[in-house]
Amino acid sequence: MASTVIGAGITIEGEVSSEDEVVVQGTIRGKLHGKDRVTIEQGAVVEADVTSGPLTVAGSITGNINSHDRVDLQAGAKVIGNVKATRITIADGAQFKGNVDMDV
Amino acid sequence: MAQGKTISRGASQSSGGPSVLGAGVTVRGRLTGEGDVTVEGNIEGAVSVTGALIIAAGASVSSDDALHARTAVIAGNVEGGVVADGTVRLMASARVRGDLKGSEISIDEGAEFEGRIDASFELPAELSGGGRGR
Repeated sequence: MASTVIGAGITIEGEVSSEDEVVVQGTIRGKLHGKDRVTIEQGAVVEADVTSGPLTVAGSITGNINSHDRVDLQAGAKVIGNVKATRITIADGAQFKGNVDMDV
Repeated sequence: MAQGKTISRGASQSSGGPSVLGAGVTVRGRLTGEGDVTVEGNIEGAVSVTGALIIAAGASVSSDDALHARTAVIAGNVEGGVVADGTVRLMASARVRGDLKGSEISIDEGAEFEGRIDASFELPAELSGGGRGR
């Protein structure tokens, strides 16, 4: 179990910063700064710029993503925004609108 | 990779599952919603939840408004007061500045508390009758 879970019924309007792993099942509007793994689960809504370690998305993100590790967009994910990451996977069934910057 | 995912959902999904803000988390802004919330980190802003609110030892919440929850257990630092429908409990490690409101209030020995208490319990008949002293 991750040290931090934003549950499905919860909305945070503002800035969330975390040193540790974060799982989002609810809603975040504002900013999300994760230093470790961030997981946006199915049904989660993130209207925020996201910085993270490894990022796994099965929910929705509207905002730019900046990961110092990999980004995995799973089936059902919906991402509108630019993605900067060392690696990226986009699964069949993921929706993505934006640019990818892999810093080659 | 996804092994924990399907398990952690399911049962708790409809009413909003339990939430935990770990010790490494800082929130600047408003946290609202359904379900139980445990805070181990820092929140600068309002908190209003329909479930049980736990402010763990070492956690810190400062808000202009009181924290709202169904029940509240405070073992950390709170600036701004606590309003619950049910019980409010200050554990021994709690440091609270602000007013407490709930159906029952308990303050453990060792807790630091600065504020007023508003507990909406029924007075016994011998105290409520006659209207003396009010």
